Amino acid sequence: MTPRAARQFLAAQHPDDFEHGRDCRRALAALEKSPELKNDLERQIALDRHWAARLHAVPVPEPAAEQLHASGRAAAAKRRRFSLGDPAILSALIGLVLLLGLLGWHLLGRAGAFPEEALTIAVDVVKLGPDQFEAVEDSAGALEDWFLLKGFEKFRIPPGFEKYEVAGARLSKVDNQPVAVLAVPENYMFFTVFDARPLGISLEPEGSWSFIEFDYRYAAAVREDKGVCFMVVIRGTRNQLEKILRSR
Amino acid sequence: MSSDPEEWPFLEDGWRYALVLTGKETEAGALVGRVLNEMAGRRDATDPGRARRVFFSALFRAARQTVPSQVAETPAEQAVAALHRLPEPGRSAWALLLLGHFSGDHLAGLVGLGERELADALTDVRRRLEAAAT
Repeated sequence: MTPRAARQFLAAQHPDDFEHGRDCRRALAALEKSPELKNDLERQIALDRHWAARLHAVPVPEPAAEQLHASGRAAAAKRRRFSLGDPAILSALIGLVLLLGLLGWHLLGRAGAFPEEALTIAVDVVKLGPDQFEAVEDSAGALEDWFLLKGFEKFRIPPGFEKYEVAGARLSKVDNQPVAVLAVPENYMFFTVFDARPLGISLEPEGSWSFIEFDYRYAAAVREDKGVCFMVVIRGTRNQLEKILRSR
Repeated sequence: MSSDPEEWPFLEDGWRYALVLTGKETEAGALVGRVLNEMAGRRDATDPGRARRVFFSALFRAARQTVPSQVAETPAEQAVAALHRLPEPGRSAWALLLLGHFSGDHLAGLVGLGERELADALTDVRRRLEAAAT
């Protein structure tokens, strides 16, 4: 990491996080080479600490606090009308879920919705620019060591996807969990690999795809194999993505 | 953690963020109330982590329709007046970073910026604030 890249990375970090994350520590080490940028960072830390303390010290006035909690209670009450804890709704929902699950299992050969956390990752991934990837020229299946050196040990590519040529790779963080991201020029795809369990994802049956379309112009498909999720994201529709996955 | 909004631990910080956005205590309360009302009708905000993202994203979006406040009257309004005058999306990005609810990655997604643009926006608002203080 260059001192300039390190400075840029640290510009978007909370001062209390500087001592924790490995990326922060790497960036701080890289900044040692530039006293000027290091001074600049020290000014940032002082400013952020000052304003964080000032912002947290703003008292929520009593009437506003009461109104806040009243709004919270009103929101809670509205939610309770549809509360899952209501025995009647719960019974109806269980019946419906079982019926739909059974139908879905038989008709589609797969079960479950697209996981919310995987969608968060997909949404973040399509915002990445080319300059946010490290250039690599290798096939997807050959990058295991590359990610191992970055500290991600669970990088695995499912059969059929190993031979795709990769132009760039990076290790992102979502909820402090590492997410491997590959830029694949063919079909303008992104591949992502991440550990399912820490993100609360469980996709069954193993190896089956869950699909989603988002932001009106992207589609993603995710599967889980032995606790590791593999997701393909394209600019296009679900139909186009299904066609790509079938043709591999 | 509970999914009951009354017990969401980020509500008071949400009010502080709304105060930065509106510059007025009364409007901050009204904005948070509107967003909570909107969230009550949503089915995708039951998990506390997800609820927090939805809550702050909704505040960020709703703030685009607010008129900037010219006068800070109460001590709370005066405390955040300098932040209120900063331009978006740097203002929101920095306020949310200072409140400590989101890491850089999530922050970028929330305010709709790439990582590099987020860093630039944060650097810009910090410089503006330093310049205003001198």
